[in-house]
This record gives sequence, C-alpha cells and structure tokens, in this order.
Amino acid sequence: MKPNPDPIPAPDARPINILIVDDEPGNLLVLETVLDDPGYRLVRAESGEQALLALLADDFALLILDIGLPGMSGIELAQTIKKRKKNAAIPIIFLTAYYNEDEHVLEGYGIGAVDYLHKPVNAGILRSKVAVFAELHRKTRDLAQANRALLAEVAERRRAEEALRALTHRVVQAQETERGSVALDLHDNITQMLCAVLIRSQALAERLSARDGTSKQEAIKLRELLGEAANEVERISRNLRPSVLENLGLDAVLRATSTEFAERTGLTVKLDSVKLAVRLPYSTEVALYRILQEALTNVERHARARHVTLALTQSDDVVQLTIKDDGIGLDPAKQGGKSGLGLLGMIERATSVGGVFKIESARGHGTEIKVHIPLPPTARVAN
Amino acid sequence: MLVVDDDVRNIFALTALLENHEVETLSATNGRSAIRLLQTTPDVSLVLMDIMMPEMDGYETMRELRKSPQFRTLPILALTAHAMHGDREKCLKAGASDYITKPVNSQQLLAVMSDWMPR
Repeated sequence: MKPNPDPIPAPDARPINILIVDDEPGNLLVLETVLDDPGYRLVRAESGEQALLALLADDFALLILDIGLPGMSGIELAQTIKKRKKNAAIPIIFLTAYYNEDEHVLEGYGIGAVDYLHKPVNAGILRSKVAVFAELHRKTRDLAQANRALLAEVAERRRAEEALRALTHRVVQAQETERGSVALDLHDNITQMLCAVLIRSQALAERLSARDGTSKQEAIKLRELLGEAANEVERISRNLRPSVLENLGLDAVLRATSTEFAERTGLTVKLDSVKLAVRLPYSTEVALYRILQEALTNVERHARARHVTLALTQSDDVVQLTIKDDGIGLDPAKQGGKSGLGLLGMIERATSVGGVFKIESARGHGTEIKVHIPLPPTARVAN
Repeated sequence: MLVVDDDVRNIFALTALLENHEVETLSATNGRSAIRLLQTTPDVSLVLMDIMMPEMDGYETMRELRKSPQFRTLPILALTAHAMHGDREKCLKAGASDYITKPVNSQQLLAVMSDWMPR
C-alpha cells in the first residue's frame, strides 16, 4: 500500500450543469445570455419530455423551470422529477410569467421548489440566486468526493491490516508446526542416542577399576556430561513443544517455567496471583506461553535484573499476563536487530489471538510487559 | 438494461424504479434508435420494449432485432396496454421473451425481470 499523504483530492474544476426549461426559444436565449459563465454548462429543453431526457442523460446541479409549459406543466414535471431518488434533491427555480399564476407558487413550494422568479427576469437577481446554488453544489460535490476518497483510504488500510494479521497468523502457525517437528526429532532421535551413549559410558566407568585412575575419572566425568546433555536436550524439546501445556494448562506450566528459570539463572522469581478459573483456548495458551518464554529469555540475556515478578489473572472476559523485572531497562534507541525481532514476535503472538501487547521501560527502572487477550464467550468465567 | 418507450414519462418512471433496484438503464424513444443503441452497446442484458410506438412499433422492432444472430437470445420483455388474449401470442411470435401489461405493476415487473436477468 502506498500511503497517501493527502487523501482529500483537489476541488473539481468542471463546470456545473444547469437545465433550463422553457417552451419559448426566445426565453431560453435570454437565460443563456444572463447566465453566460465558464463555470456553468447550460442545457436547454423546450418541453417537459426534453427535460426528462436530459435528466436521464446527465447530472444537474440546478433546474430553471418555466411553470407554463404546454402539455406537461412545470409543476407536473417537477413532481415527476422528484419521484426519482437521484433527482429528488435538485433545487428548482420556477419562472412564472403572470402574477395570476401565484396559486401555483403554493403548489410548487409543496413539492419542494426552492425559489420563484417572475418574468421578465431581473438579470442581477437571477445571476446571484444561481451563483448561490452553484456554490452550494460545488461544495457538496467536493465534500462527496473527499468523502469517497477517505472511505477508499479507510477500506484500503483495513485490507492491509487484515492481510498483515493473516500473514502473522500463518507465521505463528508455521513456527508452532516447525517447532513441533524439531521437538519430535530431538526426542525420538537425539535423546534416544544420548541415552544409549549414556548407558555405555556408565558401563565403561563401571568396568574400569580404581587402578585405571585418571581414565576412570574421565569416564565418570563423561557420563555426567552426557547426563547433562540429555537433560538439556529434553528441556529444549519440552520448550519447543510444551506437551505439558496441553495436559496441565497454562497456570501449571507458568509455575514450572518460573521454578526452572529461577534455578537455572539464580534470579528471584515472584509469582503473583497465578490462577485461572477456566481453561483458555489452546491458541491463547500457546501465545501467552511463547510471550513468557521470549520475555524471560530477554531478562536472562539483557536485563541484568535480580528480581522478576510474574502475574497471570483472568477477569470476566479478558486474561492478562504481566512480566516485570528490575533490570537496566530497554534503550529505545537500540530497538531493532535481534531483540527488536523478539519484540515483534511477541506483538505478533498477542495480536494473532486478538490481544494487545504493551511494554513499558525506562533506563535503570526495569521493564514491564503486559498482555491482554480477550476470551471467547465459551472460555469466560461463569458468574 | 434498455427501456424503449415513445413516452418519456414512462421511461423516466421506469428508470427511477429500476435505479432503486441497482439496475443500470439506457433508454430509447423509438424502435430505430433502440436498434442503433443495441448495436453500439453490447453489454445490454435485457430490453423492456413498449409495443405501441409511432412509425416502427414494438412488434416490428423485435422482428428486426431477431433477424440478427447477435440479438437472437437477448431477453426482450414486451410492454403493452392491450389486455387482450391474443396479444401475448402476437408478442411472443414477434420475438418477445415475455410479456407485461400496462399499467406496469412494479412487483410484477421485477419478478419477470429477475426470471430473465443473467445471474
């Protein structure tokens, strides 16, 4: 999408159409002379029928209508015109030849005529009246055009946002699928092999007698390292595909993750009100879990924090996750690169399930992440 | 869609009605100009044809149109003030696809039109 800096187009410079209707060609000539102006395009009609044909062919800003037309009268013509939705708002100036036509004046006002002029027409008065309607029409036309442009702009933005959202959703789904298959590979192949090697190294350590000295110690060390490697692979595999999420739910996983995180990093993790009244939709649980993982990784790598506070709360129709640390805070100038990608990923996770992601940080004052995700009616707390 | 009628008031009223149902309309006030208009406007999908017109009437216009392979299957709905029994046959024989009596009942017109409008 190309951003349009000025969605309001330039005013339309085209002349406006005015339909003049009179059965006397001489009267039409007078009108044409009086209203001769590059801003007007005058279309003449010598009968009601001709006027109707002109209205079918073109858009008009104003009608100047002789009341005393033979056949279809000016009043009848006006009534016919007003029945068409497209023409209902066209202003009409009636021209009357005799004052005894004044009874028609009332009739005309009844069908929404805008003005009356008696013939012979005063040129100055006619010109100024027409100018007022012309100006009104131009303003309305420009406004309608600007409005159309704005609506198109809004629709275009909405489409772009929707496309971005759909793309994000696919990325997140692809990520989950990919992680799942990597986790499966790790578990089925690497863990199995590590276990086999671990058993053999155990056997080796047992077979070597105390006389072998350093060799036996090496074998014992080897077995320990392999044990650690197996545990690490198991941990990575679990993080990639949190099967425990499916079995135990988000609150249990959050507790387990914070314990594991505290043990591994030596930071103090405080759990604030972690309780959910009902199970969340799986996609929401996964999104929150991934955000938590990313946030904790950031704390571990960049924050130099000592304390982390986690909270997971659920109100009527919204679930909120808060992750707060007392580290050095984010430097807004350094957003971008790898940590910037992580942040984008968290925002994508939150928006992909209809949520809102907020981050507050100041240098030396830690970082606070808040995620709000609305819940579908089925997952809400029954009151 | 094309409305053919020698009375402009009828054309105007029908156009106003059809516009309210998002139908785009063209108009012609006699058979000759209707044929010319159809030849230059290939995307007309339906014709509403008044029968009683001076010079070239609706019957003649339809017969003329049906001679051309281009208009052999174009739906033409005939409009006639005659409520006589033989009129329907006469219209269909001249090439009309269907038949509507005047004064036009808008519900009926729209119902017949929707039978003939391409989907």
